[in-house]
Amino acid sequence: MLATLRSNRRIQLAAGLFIGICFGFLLQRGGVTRYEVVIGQLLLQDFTVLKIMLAAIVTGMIGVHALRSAGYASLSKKSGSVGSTVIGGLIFGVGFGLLGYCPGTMIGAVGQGSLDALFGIAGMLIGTAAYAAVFPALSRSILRVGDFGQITIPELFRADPWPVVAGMSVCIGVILLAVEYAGV
Amino acid sequence: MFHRVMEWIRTNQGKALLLAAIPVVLVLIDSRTAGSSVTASRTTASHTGHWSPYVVGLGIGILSCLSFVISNRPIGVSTAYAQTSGLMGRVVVGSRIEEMPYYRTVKPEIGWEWMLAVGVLIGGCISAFLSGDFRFETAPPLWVREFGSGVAWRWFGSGIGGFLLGVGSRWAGGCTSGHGISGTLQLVASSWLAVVCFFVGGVATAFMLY
Repeated sequence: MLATLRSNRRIQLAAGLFIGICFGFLLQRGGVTRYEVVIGQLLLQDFTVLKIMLAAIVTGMIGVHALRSAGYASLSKKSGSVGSTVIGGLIFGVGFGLLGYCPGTMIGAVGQGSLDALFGIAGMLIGTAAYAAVFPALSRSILRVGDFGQITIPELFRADPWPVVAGMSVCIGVILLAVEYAGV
Repeated sequence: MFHRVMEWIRTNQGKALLLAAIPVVLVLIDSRTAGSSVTASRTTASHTGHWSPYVVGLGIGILSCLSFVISNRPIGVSTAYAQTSGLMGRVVVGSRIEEMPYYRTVKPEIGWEWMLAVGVLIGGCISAFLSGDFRFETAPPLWVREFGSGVAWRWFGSGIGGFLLGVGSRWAGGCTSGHGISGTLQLVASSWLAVVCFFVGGVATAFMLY
């Protein structure tokens, strides 16, 4: 049944739309589509963004690993290298701090009436096109530096995923409790 | 399908217990500090109708699982920008766009990720209207307080910020959703490294600005 569901293009496009609507609703309802909340996080004054991300990660981590054990999902791993992940991540970070939205939340921000986010979307489309133009040169050089491929943390330590999932869950719980005790 | 789920729970009681424990722990953390988070902060604007971050996070986690079951895909928004820029490029340079190496890896088309992005717009709009949080703003109030009401500077800064998000997300292979939530929850090494870099760059930039 799942195989037919996943191979039907129309159903998949509708599913993407449905999941997007739920995602946008949750992002807006959580407040992370507001510039003030994102900047508050980056100034380390309001930890709403971190709380949402860690709660989502711990829930999704256990859920997706359970689905995988039950044969309902396969992992979709992004490959990485020092040259791509670190440099790209830092460039992203500067944009994140300057704009005060991320690629998903700025679309949700337009939905709540924040018109400045439209300029972020326009900028991001141009940035993506610019990246596509320089991609051939980058892929021959800097993106290859320190390549570590598609690897998960359990694979890195040659461990079974479940102890890692349990350990990460405990770490995230401790971080969330510490953030709450600090009152931020 | 229901039968197989029950079967899985019977054979994996420890994991099922861990699964059931998350909402309980999150509710406990939340109830301890109900209402005290997100207040008393200089940057906090009016939080009209916002939900607890733990409820929202739990929802996004469940939604990620749903996305894996229905589509066997992780939630990630930045691919939609690449699809759109490719589609716009096709208008300008025609089918030559498909010969560009990058657009061979990310096809310029209305795909799953594109629909996801449209959904985010609709969902954000629905939420804002339902909670009375919808308002047209040309610049965020915090920005205006700090840098004055010269809206053009905010728009210029947004464009530059967006440009860097576009370059950075494609360079690193994902954004705050694709790497930051979907990659990290699969315990992908590159995603954990990426999200740390996102925040290092973001925190440094925010401290320089404010």
